[in-house]
Amino acid sequence: MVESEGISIEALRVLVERAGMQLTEEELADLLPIYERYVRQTAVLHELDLGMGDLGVTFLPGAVPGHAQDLSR
Amino acid sequence: MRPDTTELCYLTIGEASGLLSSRKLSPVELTRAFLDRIDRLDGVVQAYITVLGDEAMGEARRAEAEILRGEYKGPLHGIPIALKDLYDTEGVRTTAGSRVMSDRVPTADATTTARLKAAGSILLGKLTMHEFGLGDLDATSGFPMARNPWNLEHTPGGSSSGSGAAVAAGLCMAALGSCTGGSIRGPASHCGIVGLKATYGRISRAGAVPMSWTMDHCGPMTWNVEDTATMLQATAGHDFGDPASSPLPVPDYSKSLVEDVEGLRIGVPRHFFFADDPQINRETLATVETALSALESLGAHVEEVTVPSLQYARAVHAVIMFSEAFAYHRPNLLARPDDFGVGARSQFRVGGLFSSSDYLRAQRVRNVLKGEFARTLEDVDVIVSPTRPQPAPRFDQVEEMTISGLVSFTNPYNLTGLPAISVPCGFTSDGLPVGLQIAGRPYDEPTVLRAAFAYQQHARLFEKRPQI
Repeated sequence: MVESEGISIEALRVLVERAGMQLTEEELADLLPIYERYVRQTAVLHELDLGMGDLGVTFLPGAVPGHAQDLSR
Repeated sequence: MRPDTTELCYLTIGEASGLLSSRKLSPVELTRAFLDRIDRLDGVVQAYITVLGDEAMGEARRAEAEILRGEYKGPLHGIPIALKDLYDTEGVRTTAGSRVMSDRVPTADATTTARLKAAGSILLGKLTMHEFGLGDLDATSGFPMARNPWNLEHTPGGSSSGSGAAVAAGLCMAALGSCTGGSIRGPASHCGIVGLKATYGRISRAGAVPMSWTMDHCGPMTWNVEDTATMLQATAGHDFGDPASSPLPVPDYSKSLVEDVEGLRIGVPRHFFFADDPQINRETLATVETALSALESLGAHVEEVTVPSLQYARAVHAVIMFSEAFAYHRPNLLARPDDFGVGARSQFRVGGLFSSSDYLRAQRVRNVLKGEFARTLEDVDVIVSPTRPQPAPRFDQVEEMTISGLVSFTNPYNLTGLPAISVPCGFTSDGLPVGLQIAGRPYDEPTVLRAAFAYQQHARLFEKRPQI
């Protein structure tokens, strides 16, 4: 989910804690402008009409860890 | 006449291997010359984190004995090289440029390390890098910052900063860099050398400290295109240790080194790489325009192409890279955050804040971009652009030109996995190098190398070395 621009420190804290991190007020304040910059960029991606056909990520049932797959398929 | 010590360090691999194989030059003498030069200059250039003096001399003596016994292994036998400090080296500290790994000593070589050793190369040491391969320079990482040999007040670019600086300054004959968004081609461009990010899957990443599994690439950085082909030959090929490694056969890259681009179709997405954007340096564009004219004069056809989704590359790249980086670094970010530099810690933490929806959205847009490039490369053989939108910044400009703030001309090829090379194409009026980026179809390194070689032989910029 993309947060809207102008996210509050409290909202950021929820996201940070969901990710397993415990940050101080100062650290949260430092992180906020960096996060907001990326949120703005990410929001643009969600506005694109990609249709439903392209799933983007492919699951290969035959791929086994330790055995390389052919990416040229 | 035999080369003097400085001239020895400015030999290319091709030149040195000819002397070594014919026993006109000893690997011991060559390695000694590089170690002396490192001792004399690296206090200023700061390209090395670790110098392996005794080990390198031991390897050189072994190589000398092998060659004298008639057991010459090929063009890398006896050649002094160095590795970005994220390639695992058995028994040798490998830090990834971070306090987090400052005491880490691998028990095995990375696949690339092992392949270069098997080819007979001499490992001089481990090279400076930006922390964990991030593009941003960070003075708080706890490691020295390499300087640009063309102007020590400027950065060499990153993240393979030491690799670019060492090759340009004659502190090693070749290096490996690694690249998640441009960390091979960027320093190559800024340092006036050649850097190749091969196709995703072409060179194994097993034993290289990861940052972003779906975008990390390994690749060579050298003084000229021929040496890049030699390093690629030694490191390319299938490896079970890297799940993304391709089993496709490896061609003979030396056959690509022909001065012939007659009929080569070159696409130029001017809407993106030549945009009217204050972030894009006009002198850089003019230099690249001259290079395009040169390629046309050699018989290539240059045409404008459109890749609409390039405008989303920066956002897509950021979401994927930092999400994957957070997944890798999460344990250390939680347990010992103060061991990260300020920049890496902040960027990686942001990676933990993206949602699964953000990540999958980015992967889907990435797929759209990949499709657009594939269709474009049905009509043209290669896509050409500047490697970097700006020449190397001064250290005091870095703050305003971080990777997150400056448009990237290189990360589209990490997103698509396409092979891309940077070859020197000129200098700014301040004497800073400008790089020409040439990208091609998947696994078509031969065409990329051919175009780069033909241009290099025409421009002959390899004749000019930095004064250091």
